[in-house]
Amino acid sequence: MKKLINMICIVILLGVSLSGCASNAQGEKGDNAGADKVTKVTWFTSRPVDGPIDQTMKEIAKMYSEEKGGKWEIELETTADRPSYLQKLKTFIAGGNMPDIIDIDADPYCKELVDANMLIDVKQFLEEEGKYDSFYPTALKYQAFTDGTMYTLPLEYHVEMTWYNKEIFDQYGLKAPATMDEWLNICKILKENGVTPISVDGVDRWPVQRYLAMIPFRKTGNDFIINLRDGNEAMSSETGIAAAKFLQEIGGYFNDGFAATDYATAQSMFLDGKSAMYYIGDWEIASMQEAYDAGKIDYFYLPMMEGAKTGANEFCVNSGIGMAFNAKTFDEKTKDFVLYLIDHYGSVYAGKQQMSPLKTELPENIEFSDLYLRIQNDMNHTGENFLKPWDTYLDADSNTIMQDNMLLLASGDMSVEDFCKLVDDAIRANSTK
Amino acid sequence: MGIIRDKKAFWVFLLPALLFYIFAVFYPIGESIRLSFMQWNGIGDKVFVGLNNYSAMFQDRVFYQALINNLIYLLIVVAMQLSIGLFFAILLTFMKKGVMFVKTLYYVPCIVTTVAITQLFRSIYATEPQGLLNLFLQSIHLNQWTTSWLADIRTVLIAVSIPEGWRFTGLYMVIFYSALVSLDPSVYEAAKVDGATELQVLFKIKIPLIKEILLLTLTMCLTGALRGFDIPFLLTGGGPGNASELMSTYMYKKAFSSNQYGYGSALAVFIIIESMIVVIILRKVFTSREESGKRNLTKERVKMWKSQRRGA
Amino acid sequence: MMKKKVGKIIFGIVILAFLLVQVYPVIWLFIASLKPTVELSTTPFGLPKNVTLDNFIKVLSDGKFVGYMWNSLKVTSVSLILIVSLSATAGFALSKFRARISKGVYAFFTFGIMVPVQITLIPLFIFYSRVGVLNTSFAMILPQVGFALPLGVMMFVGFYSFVPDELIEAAIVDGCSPYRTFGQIVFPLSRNTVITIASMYSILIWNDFIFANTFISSSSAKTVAMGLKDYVGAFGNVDWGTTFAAIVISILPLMIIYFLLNKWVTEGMTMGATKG
Repeated sequence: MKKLINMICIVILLGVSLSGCASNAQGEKGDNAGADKVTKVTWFTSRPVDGPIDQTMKEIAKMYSEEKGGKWEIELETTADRPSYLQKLKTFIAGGNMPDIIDIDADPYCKELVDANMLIDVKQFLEEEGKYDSFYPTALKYQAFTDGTMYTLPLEYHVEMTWYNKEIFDQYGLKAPATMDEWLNICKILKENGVTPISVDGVDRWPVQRYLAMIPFRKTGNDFIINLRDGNEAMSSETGIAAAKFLQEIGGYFNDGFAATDYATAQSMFLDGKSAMYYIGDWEIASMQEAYDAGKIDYFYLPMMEGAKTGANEFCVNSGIGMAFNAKTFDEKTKDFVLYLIDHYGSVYAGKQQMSPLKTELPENIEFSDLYLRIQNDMNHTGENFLKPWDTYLDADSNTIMQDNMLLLASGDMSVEDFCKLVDDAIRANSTK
Repeated sequence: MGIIRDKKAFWVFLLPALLFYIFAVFYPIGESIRLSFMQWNGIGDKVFVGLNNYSAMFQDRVFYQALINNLIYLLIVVAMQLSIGLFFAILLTFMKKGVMFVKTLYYVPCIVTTVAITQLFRSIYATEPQGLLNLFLQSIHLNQWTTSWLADIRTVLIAVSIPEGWRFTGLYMVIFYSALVSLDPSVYEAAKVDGATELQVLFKIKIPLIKEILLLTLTMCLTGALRGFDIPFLLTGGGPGNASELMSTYMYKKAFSSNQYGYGSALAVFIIIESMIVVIILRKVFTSREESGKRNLTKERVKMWKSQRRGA
Repeated sequence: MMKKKVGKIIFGIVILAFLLVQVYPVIWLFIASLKPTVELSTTPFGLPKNVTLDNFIKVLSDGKFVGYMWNSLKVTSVSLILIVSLSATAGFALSKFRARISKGVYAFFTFGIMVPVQITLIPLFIFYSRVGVLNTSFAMILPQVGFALPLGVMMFVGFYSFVPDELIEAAIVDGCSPYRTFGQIVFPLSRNTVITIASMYSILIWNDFIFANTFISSSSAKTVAMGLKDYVGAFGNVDWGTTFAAIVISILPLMIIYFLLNKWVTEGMTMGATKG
């Protein structure tokens, strides 16, 4: 008897969990049939929870929803941790379930989605609606593929620079470097005096990859990496070897064990005065504010090189991960919302002390710090070319191999020749696929 | 075994579990095997490529590195978990008071999330700021051994194996302790009377009697270590280079970072086969002794039940 | 006499040292959650210079976290019930019934111990999206239960091998159906095995991240393990202070249950292990 009851319980439980929980899933997809129904759009996003973009989106969505009589809702499904987000996104897509709106970089994976006709041509959309010029050109260019097409919308706008500790520099009579050689020299002097020249977040890989990209950018703009990706250039070429050599040299000035140092640690090392320099973008203005106002730190952009193709006002500018739209579910209502978004995003976002990718007048009722204004001024004067991060160009596998091994290169555990050969082999192997 | 002959009841009892299991485990395995013969990037079509993935695998230098790393990892983890677990279990049997308290606390690391453990060990191994490990080495004047354990390619694999090993030591300790404590004292009291020392009793009598448990824990331990993923992945992502790459991290990276689902599946199939071989070897080694041990113990239990029933 | 005393002291020190090593992480975790994030990167090991409850306040203030814990609770308890009942019944079938296929089915089950769980992600995902149960708790429960069955069945079969056939014979002779035999006689004996399995898997499932992350996307169904990752900032900057506070809160229930039921649990594990 007891067993029978047990069995019945199990069956009931199974049934309950199947049905009861299943009802959760059905509410997700929007339903455009009746005008009385509330359209629900899902944005699968990888922005920090309660961060400025998250908040801005929710505010604007609320404003829009109210104007439309509450018939439209956007739901943000956030996975802030980028690697987990990507794994999930890929799983979704592999299962044939792409969400309405996603976040994605204009990288080879995105290109495949484009080739499969899964994304809306954002460039065409903006041009048709006359919104193309509302954005800063560089912000848009960053989202474009090499062939000029664009399938993602920028929601951020950043510059990257090297912050340095003025007090330490003053102590050794150093000034912000104007050239790469000066930079290396500064590092040498600091190291000789027992100061950690640069703190680096090796765990997230991308900061190290920036250093690798510096020399090629100065020499050729983004041409080198584009050719490398397309198989028209090799890592073992003159430029490639120069890049690797530079990484190895400056790697000697990274903090000890940088490969295992995470973002938070690298940053606080700098803020705590334990390292003299730190490369990070303007999204960290809030953390740098106090020390900057106290005159303890300052920043410089990518130093120049003799015979450089790119100018001193050209360096790494990025407009963050872009917003892409599912071609199948992009309907009139969503379109309407996106236009509304473009009109209002700039002011709301800038009001949160962020750099907007849209040309906006800074809201008058908010006070912006000197640092913010100075950086904004810099952004308005950047050149046409900008350093585009290499991980948006290379195919995923080659990128992983490059990232894994550049750590060894920078720490001196791998030779320049071996590294270049590995990269070339990987790119060759992956280009045949 | 088995004495009940009711066929229908047999299936009633077995079927639900079987169904769950087939769906949750075998269907994916089947799919993975299927996928391992294809090339797929997750978006486009799946292209049949026969044994290409496998031949590529056997020529992949990273594959061999991951394989060797995995074996080293395995050795460290299993050695730590079983030997330390057994050692402390034995020590515990000599304790008179506070056993419950100690047992409880030893088990605690199992409860803590991997994220916390990862961050803790990352800090312990660090050099700037100096982590606990380096501080400790300095305090006992072994300065030349201090290094950034996770960034140094000579030490990273060991550094990554230790948290995993340490984590479940408490679990195995509790299991071994229980096993040791449940042994019928009369068996070895007799030996003691005959003049055997504690150590002799320990090695010649107690340990052989818990062979079954040893097999069980060895199986759990080995297969767990072969699948080990969380901590290595979070701590170093297989790096730097591929110095701490394990089969599981490599498989995951190939599938989700490099978008090579076919190749990743081939790696997964290899892991499964590898585990199978290990388990089969284990069984062969232990089975013969286990059978005889079991028969003896069964006789004991039957005697116990019989006497209980008579009493009840 | 001296030798014995010295021996005892060394013994005590060794036990204590190991105790410290085992317990330290939890202590560290608690202390870390009371530190402001900046301090964590610069002095991760000292006592906090500025004790702060900010991290906890941040985690609890928006109420989402409690929701996550509720989801985790749902998933964990349903999974546990399923694991125990399915393993117990299947184990019973395999060890006490006369069927030629028993051995094969048993081997079939134990094979599952060797499978790396990551391979199930994509196939299961595709399957779920077709059946329409994505984003539900069930999606998470299925693989958890499925992967727990091999060990569960193994333990129950092991336990049942100690339940003598004569006992069952007697029951049958008395006229009990197999169901009754199981429910009234055999299963109640397995209390300790049940406790062993429940305590092991409750921790594993509560802390699981990879299944939750793959199958759940809406915030309303998120579990605690996923919620921990909420505090990742732009470009990879993790707010560790808040994350640790979240971790402390998330393992609090586990620890409370563990300490309260401790006696029961370890006793259960004791017998469960020896008879399993």
